[in-house]
Amino acid sequence: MSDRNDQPDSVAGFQQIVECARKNCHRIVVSGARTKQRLAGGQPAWIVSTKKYCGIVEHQASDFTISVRAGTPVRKVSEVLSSQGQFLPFDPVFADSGATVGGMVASGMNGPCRLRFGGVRDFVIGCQFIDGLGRAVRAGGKVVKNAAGFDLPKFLAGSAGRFGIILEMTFKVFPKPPCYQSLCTRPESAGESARLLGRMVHSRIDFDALEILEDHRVAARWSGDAQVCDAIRQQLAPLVTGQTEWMTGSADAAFWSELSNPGTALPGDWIVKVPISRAHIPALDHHLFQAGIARRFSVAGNLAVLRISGAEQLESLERILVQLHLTGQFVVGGPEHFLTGATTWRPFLQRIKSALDPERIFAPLSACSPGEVMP
Amino acid sequence: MKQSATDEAFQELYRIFSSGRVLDSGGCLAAFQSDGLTAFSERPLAIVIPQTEDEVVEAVRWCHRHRIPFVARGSGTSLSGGSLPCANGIVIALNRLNRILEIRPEERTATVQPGTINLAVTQAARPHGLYYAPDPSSQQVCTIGGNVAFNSGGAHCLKYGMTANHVLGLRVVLPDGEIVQTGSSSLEMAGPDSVGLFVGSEGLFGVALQITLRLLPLPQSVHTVMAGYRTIEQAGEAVSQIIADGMLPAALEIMDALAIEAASAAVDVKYPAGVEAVLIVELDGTETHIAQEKTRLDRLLQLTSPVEMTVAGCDAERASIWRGRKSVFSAVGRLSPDFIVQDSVVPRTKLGEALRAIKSMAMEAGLRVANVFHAGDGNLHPLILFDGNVPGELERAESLASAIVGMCVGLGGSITGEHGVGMEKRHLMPAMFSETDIAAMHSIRMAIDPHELSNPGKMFPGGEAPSLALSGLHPLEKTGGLSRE
Repeated sequence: MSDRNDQPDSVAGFQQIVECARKNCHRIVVSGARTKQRLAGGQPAWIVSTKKYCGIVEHQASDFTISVRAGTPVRKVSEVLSSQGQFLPFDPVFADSGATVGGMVASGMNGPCRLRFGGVRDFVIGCQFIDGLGRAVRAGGKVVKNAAGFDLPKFLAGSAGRFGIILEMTFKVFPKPPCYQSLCTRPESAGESARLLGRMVHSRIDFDALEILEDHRVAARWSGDAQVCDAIRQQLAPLVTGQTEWMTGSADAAFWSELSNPGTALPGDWIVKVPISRAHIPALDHHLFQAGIARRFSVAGNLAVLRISGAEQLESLERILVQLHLTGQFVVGGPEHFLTGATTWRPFLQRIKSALDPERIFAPLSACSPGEVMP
Repeated sequence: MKQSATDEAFQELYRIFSSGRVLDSGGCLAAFQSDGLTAFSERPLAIVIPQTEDEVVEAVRWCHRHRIPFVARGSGTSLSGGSLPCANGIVIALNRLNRILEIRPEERTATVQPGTINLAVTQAARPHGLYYAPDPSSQQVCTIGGNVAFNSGGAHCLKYGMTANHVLGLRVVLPDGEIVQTGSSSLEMAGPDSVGLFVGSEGLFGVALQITLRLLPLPQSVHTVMAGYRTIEQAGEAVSQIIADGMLPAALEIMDALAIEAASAAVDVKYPAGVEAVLIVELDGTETHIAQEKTRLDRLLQLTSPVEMTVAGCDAERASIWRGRKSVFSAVGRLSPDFIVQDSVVPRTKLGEALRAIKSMAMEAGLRVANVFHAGDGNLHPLILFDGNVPGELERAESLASAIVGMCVGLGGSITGEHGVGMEKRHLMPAMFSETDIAAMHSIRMAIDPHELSNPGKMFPGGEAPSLALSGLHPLEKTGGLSRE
């Protein structure tokens, strides 16, 4: 069976490809701008690109909602929203690299500045996708409050192409803050970084972002009007001792843009996100250091963002995560399965998979042992 | 007990649950025949009252073994018939699983059992400087398990979102008895948002045994304003001005004249005289943010020409304003023997159009409608007043309710903003979703519950409704066990 690389520009076009895949028992992998390669994992057979299925369907600025086709660059959405004083509060990642809306939702990865208002799952309110039976399914709606039907828009956040082809998403948006300021400081040790993070969490300041970077520097960002930002800076000054850089304007924007567009240090590096609590940081930091895995602790210690190089680090990561009862998700690159570590998710997701992709034309949920049928 | 159930199966149930925790006699069953939507009533085979998670699991597994449907129930406050029993099934009453298992102030999480009262979470978290944000009007009574099942909202959804935005992890028993864990205590997730899918699934995916909730720091500063307007249109315009200014209030609520009349009679709140509507605006956040925003808000509101504007000067005054607002649903019982409350949503910018349409439709139907709504997110709660003892009024009220929902969907809205579909609105699902959409959702339901044992007959259209056309008293009132006064 020869490889295919389709770029449909209509719902019917996507449905035809799914029908063909079903008829020929072939796997399909969804692709946007390929900023998160191997998001869907597996030996790529038929690649279905959403690039031609793009455009803003509807922007109701006064209602604070926007509906967008999956192949639309996130950067374009941000520009349109910004022109109306609005923004996507979950700090989409890889936007500068051309990431698409579909991939952004499918990865479920949020940037550091999601801390204040929430992640992508908190802002998706409607969706359309093609499932593994070729059904074009709509769920949710276009209003910010809606309790009708199952919340499939939320479910698609982080679904990594395993359950269907995302075609369109509707988001709730917020007013864009007028001003940002930030700081980056270098505590004396990794332990002091964690303690400083704790003090900042308890400072009662509404941070937009709180990070422990790979080199154990601590970075924080806040927003509001200029007066409010200055007042917050005054509150923070006594907390941070040692070498501290205070940033505003373009310096602030550039600093956080780099974190929201995490590249890989080397070609072939993979990026893994691991939901954690702050309590995990000491043990996790220790184990990852021993395994030589680069890491950043994001979202005030609720997320570890890791860079993995090679099979040995992959095995070490799997071992560490199982030991700490954590689950990681490959966001860039990775093996065929996209989740690693603890497998408590498996029973529930397998059932959903059997409903939305019973013939398994999309990538599997997990790797299998010889003779095991892939879920 | 009905003849259709096997005696042997029920003997097994009596062995699982000790004496007094399987209720099967008429008087006991009456208390569970309806929920907050008293128009529907159904007598179950029995009520079981587990005291532990293991007993909940045993009950579900018993149901699976014997193919007996079940409805898990908290306080039965559902306004959509979501916890209505089924005639050939049992109710699993979760009220005794009401413990807050753990509060972790450092992580800002609380892990609770499903029968925990919503407000109890905030009461337990408050000493740590934290609270639980979702605040449905029934929060003194409703349970977290029920909130999870129906993705409950409340007045502060505009800024803080609904229940789904505050549930981090779940331990669930699926309808076949398998126990699964989804999510964790982290704000972030790996893989698809299974927690988000479970929340709002209306009990069709099984029973939540433990729920890990996100807690927020108590706002340092709260600024609550109540402004009275001559017309509801003026109140709506004030909302538009606030939104256009780029503010993100914690709450934006409007009550119309009839709602004000009801609340005034029920609670000790002083509303401005001679107004057709009041607007309640609340800002909350850090002292730094609010110090600047409250001046901006007050100045903006003054420009909208309110008849009177009151700023809550202390916690007691703030609580009074909210007591009035949250009393409306029960307070309209003083104005009318019966009422139907709707829960539809329109895009916020269509609020004015929707309210005009409701007024017109109400006049045509010859019925009064009190309006109270979450103005910031377009979630309407028209309370249709009627007297079920007057021939034809129930039917006119129901027809008006359906027409209002249809109108809202036609304006791009939803059939339900926070009460869920339940029994009441399942016939309206095709107004929002195509056959394909509903089929896809149904296939998910069947993958999780192939025998349709868990809260059957809810959410999906089709099938006979249980006893309808009751008006007036709750079944327990009819037996003399309960009085509204």
